[in-house]
Amino acid sequence: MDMKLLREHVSDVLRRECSLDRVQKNSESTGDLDLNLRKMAGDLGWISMCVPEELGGLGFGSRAACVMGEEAGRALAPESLTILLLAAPLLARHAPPLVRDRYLDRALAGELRVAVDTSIETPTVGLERVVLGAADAELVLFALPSPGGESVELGLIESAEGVSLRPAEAWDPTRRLSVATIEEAAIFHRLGEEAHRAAVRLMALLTAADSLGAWDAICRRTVDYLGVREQFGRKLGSFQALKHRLASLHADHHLKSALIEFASIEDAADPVLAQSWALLAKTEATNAAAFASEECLQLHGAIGFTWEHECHLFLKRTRLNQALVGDNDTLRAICGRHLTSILVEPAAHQDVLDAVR
Amino acid sequence: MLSVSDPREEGLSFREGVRRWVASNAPRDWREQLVDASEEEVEEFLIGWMSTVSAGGFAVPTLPPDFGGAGLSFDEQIVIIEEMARADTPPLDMFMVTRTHAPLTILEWGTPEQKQKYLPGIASGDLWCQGFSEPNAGSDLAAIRTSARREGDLLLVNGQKIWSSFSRRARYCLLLARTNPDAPKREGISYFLLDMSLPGIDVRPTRQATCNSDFSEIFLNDVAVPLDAVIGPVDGGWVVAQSTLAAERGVLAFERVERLWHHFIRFIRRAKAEREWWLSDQQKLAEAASLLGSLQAERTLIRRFVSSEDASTDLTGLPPVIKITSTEIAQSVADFVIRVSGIRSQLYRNGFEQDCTSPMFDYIFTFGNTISAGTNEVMRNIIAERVLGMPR
Repeated sequence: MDMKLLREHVSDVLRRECSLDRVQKNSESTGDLDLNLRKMAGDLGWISMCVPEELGGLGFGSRAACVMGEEAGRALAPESLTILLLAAPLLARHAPPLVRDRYLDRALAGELRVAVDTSIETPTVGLERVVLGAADAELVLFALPSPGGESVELGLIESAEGVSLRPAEAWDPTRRLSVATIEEAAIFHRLGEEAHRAAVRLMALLTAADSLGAWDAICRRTVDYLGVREQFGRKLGSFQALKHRLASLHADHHLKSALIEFASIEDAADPVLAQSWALLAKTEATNAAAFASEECLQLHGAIGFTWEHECHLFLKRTRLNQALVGDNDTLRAICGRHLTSILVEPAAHQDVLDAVR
Repeated sequence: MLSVSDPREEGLSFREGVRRWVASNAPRDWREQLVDASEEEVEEFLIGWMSTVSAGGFAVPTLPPDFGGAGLSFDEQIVIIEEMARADTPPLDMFMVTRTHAPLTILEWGTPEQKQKYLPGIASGDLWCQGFSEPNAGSDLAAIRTSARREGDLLLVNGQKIWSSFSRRARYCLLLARTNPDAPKREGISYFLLDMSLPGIDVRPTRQATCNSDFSEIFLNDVAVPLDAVIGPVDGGWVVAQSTLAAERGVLAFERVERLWHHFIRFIRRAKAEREWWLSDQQKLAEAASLLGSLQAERTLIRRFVSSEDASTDLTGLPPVIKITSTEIAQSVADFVIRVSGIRSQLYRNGFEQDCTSPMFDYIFTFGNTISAGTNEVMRNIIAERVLGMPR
């Protein structure tokens, strides 16, 4: 699959179907933007792309997921496209056959409503957790300790089986958060540690990619604005102090894009290493994108502080991304511990390196 | 000595062949041996290594066989850099101009006679230097004042060049001088292949903040240069100079980042062996992760840029991005290594390139790269105006 073509296709569709105007209107009311996009993504085969071929998908892997995730961030798209890109390969590969048969086809068609634990890396203590997704979700994916408590597993619970969801008002108006309460007597499926690692890796990559897209979009808008806005008798964009800030963001964007690309290369040989690179891509890209959104709001001046202007949407979206998957400071330390252990082993990174070439 | 083509005749992959060549030809334990060596001794050692590299065909791997090169592909050159970085062979920074700027410029702009005259020497390791910057022409390179005045069949060159690395020992210099003082700034400059043994050339070392004196000033006093030392059109040297810098295609940045990646990992390995305190500090582990991520990202970014077949992303505008990010990451790595090394980092120790064994040396050394080849501030202007299209 040519990733450039995929990007152009997804970007074209989202520019049309998920314009800024629609996103803003949708955030003011309970619009049907999410439902429409989800179904369209199913019709266009987007959800199948990241499901392995032997399980009924197209097998383009997490690289394709990242390309679509990035475009979703650029368009400030509602959450369910990204959630289905995450849930479909997990259902296909890790769900018990009965569950898979009940839900996978509807997921691929863009019909399934899923919510996913925002703290997927580390299980939340207690029965209540914040999930990404609407309160009408049919399935919830969440992290839970393994029976012995020594590791973490991915859990899947059907909404009829003992989980109650209520909407939570999120600061990010472009996506929905809910609070899921798992009842004491709930019946849920343990999908195992491997499923958990896969979920963490893919959600980290999708979140990183979302931030990367949002970052690029707001920087482009800011460059355009500074190219027309005049003060002191000249275009604001002609001031070197402002130019350098955008140039720095541009350079760093390339770097974070490369990190996500590297982390999204399939590397089953060492799952801990693969997960560490994905989590690191998430912490680095989401932190940098939140900084870029701050810079852009500041560079817009007072207009950027208004509700009508889109700056705050990007700031809030990139802020939420920082908090998804797990806390960035904690995750970076975990990555540091893994990477400093694994990479010092001779030839630990050899195969990945050759794959890049 | 094994030459580069031999391993392939034995059915090994190119990478395996290079790896075998490196294993049997690269000196061992050379860093330990050079710790207390004088600058002269280090340079002698590096010249010796360069002649080994040249004999293997690796000095300028892509140079065509007609000119004494190995005629390897660009991708093969990348493999050579990777394998030498992995094996920690001695650095070849001293021969940077020899390995990239000189051959690429001469291949693109040289006459057949110039190619025959200079390229075989380059393939066998002649040391070249660069004479671009002047006291009043740094970021504003086109402001150079060194002049070359026609005098019969000769040009008389007068002026002063600065920041010219290893020119003390150089055999030739890539020199920019003004041949037409009346033309607009960029249109009166010519590009010379200057023989450094000519009378009237005085080279005086400049001590740098690292304590070393790689740099020299070059004083040119009525240096009589033959007309055939001009490369490219007379008065058209500005364009030649641009293509010299562009032709490098990120290979130097690639080599630096690749070597730094391995040096930083070796640094972590030593820290593990010594049970250094910072490996159990959450904040320091987080910082180390960020730096590893940045280095890995930079490796991926430059590979994307240098690998010829990848057309999935728009690559125009990447050179200034690579310049800024790669040099600033190197500075951050040096800063980190200083902080986790504590007071030991403040005890003087000589260094070679950025190998993480002398943290303060490394740190000061990194400014050489954030400043040279267009300061990072000039690069930010280029990104803003030419890539992002912001108003001048």
